[in-house]
Amino acid sequence: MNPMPHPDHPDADVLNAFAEHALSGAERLRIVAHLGDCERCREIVFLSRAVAEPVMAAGPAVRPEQRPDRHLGWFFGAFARWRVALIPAAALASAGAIVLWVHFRPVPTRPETARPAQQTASARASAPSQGLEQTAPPLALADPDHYVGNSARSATASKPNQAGQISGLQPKSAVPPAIGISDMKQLSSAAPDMGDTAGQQRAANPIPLDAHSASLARYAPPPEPVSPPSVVTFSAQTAVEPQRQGGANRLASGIKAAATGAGAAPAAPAPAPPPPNILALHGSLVSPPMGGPSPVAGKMQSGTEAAPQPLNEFAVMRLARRAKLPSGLITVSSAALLNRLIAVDSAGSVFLSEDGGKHWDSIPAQWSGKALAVQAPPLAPRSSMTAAKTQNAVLAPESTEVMIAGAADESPNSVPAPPPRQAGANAPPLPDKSLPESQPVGKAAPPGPDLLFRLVTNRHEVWVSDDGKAWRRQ
Amino acid sequence: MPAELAPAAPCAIASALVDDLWRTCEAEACGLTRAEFEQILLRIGMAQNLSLAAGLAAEATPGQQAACFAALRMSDLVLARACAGGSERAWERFIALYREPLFRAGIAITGNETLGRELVDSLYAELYGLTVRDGERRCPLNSFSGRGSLIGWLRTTLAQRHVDRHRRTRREQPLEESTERAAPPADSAPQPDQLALPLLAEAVSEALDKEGPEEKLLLASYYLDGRKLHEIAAVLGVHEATVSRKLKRVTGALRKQIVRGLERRGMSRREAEEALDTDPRDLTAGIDNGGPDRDHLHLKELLQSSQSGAFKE
Repeated sequence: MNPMPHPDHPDADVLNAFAEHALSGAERLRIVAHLGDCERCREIVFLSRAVAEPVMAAGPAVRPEQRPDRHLGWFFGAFARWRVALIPAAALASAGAIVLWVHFRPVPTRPETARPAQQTASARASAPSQGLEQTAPPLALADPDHYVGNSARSATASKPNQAGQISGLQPKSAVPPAIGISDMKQLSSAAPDMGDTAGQQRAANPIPLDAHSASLARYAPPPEPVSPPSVVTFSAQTAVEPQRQGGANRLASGIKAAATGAGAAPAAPAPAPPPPNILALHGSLVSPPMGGPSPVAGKMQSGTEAAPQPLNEFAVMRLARRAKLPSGLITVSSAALLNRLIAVDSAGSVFLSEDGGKHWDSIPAQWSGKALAVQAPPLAPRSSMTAAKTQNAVLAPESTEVMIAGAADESPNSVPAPPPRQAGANAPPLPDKSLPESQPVGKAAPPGPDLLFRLVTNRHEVWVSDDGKAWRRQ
Repeated sequence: MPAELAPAAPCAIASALVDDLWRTCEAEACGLTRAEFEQILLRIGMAQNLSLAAGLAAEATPGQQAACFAALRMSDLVLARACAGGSERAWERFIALYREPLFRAGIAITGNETLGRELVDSLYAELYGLTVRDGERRCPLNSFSGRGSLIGWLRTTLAQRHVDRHRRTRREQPLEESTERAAPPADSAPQPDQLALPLLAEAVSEALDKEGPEEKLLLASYYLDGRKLHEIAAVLGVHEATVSRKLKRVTGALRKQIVRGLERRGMSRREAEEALDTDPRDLTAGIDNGGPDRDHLHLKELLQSSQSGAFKE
């Protein structure tokens, strides 16, 4: 590099044109080559450029093609200088925000979501036997996630303020509809898409409960079973109050009949109510309790029994609380039978776990449509019920204990003992075909050949399986 | 008609183009008649050859003529030519537009208000044509081609005058302000590193010769002139980060070239890398430009700069 000035220095016009990026490629290259060797011309260019900065920005624009990365302003200059610190700082801030969001994201806890399985079973047991038999449930399925809402409503009817948030439900009205009636209205209006709507609503509307409501829901009697002639034929014309009362009466009579074995026909000439599990299936459609005690709740308390809590309920409870299905979706229905857990996610996929929910296997759909809910026949409850608001008991306490004890010996993967049952809430599970009718309620019943998982699809089909893997249409 | 407005070649500018330029250039405000303006356009076009190949200017279409003039700052050019032609109205317009900016530029260049105004006044006198050469009034404004802005040309002219004056007066500084390099003792035996100096100088010169013109300008501006990255970026018309990356790349490549050059000249790699620690003041071949110590210090920084070091901005 020869710093001695060249004899043919470019004049001020050329140097200015270079400084303003107004030279063509060849001429510019020539000037650049000269400037690399000539300190004098470099000094002139840099000096004129330094002086021209504030005016050049407001002056006539130079040809854009000659100014690829021109003066970008103070912001970019500051960014260019501090980019070494800004970029890592921004990355750290983003990572920290993500960690905080994941950490503090409210995880919906469903400690009581499994409860409905017990209450659903008890509701089934309390329903008129023949009515329930006839209806045979496509709807006789436990849906812990949503049954809690219903039971919470019925249980906390006198304390509406303590009911947990139940999003996605109908807005509160002056007269809370009978539990299940609004479900039926919704069903009738959305019959073709009942399953999809329910599944979508369940997926979209979780039902978290506060501790008090959850505890109340735990011992709440099952909701009034509604009586659709079929899965989708619930009438929207059903009045609220009368139906509620009628339904409660039917439930009470049915339960009593089941307990006595008389199989008395329900007093009301209404069709046999379906298992209350339909409420769990569409629990998001039911509005939260309002105002004072719900007549239904009162009726339930006086005349009906609290659903017994089958042994497998806690397995289901644990499942519902901790289940992390491979699909990543929430569990909308689950059931446990012996050492097998079946879970249905919000997309209708079915999963099986044989190790208490630690590992899940996806069950290929052998049915058409998508699964909505799964149920397993409840085994006898373990412990005696504790006193609760409901005072109805169907099963004899001693039989309950025996069943629980027997059930406890069955599975090595024993689930935690269920909480003390409500007094009088030893209603036998809803009779279904899986249990022989002659089997005395309350006795320890070893798993028999009729212990089957029952799966309901959105095609209103019922599929059963004894191992959760191979399913056949019932 | 002034000599500057005489037609240079037998070609004509399209009338519509003249009308359009007459309007956009505010030629009437410069005190020009239409004929004078047309002549100015003709001279400008011929000076640029209408942006066409040689000999084709006479056959330029109106579109080509328009394209030629569109690439120029016609309003500044017309004003400059009108001033050079002695139009008083043009000078009034010139003073109104550029007097204060020029004074600010002069003060910024010299760093002193008095010197700045003196510098500007001397330029004004020359621009106004007080300089007579060979009996003919000379005006530097005639050298303005319109490719850059007139105010930029004026600043560059001021800077040029200032630099030339400074370079003349710099060589007149007292002896005690010259370099303080101590003369080596005469009877000292040549140190081992002194034997490598010629090799190093050759290697450095060879490596620098291989660099492209922009790389040389980059190295010279940063290491010899001590310019900052944003200053270099403004001159080259790129982003400051681009200059930094390019400088880093060029510096690293230059170091490798110098080391390889020294290895080719018989030095080991370790010796070659140690030679980079040589004081650049000891290098004489093609490095010493007689400038102040800062040149040597910056060149030392070039030779010894780490590849991972950050460039001063």
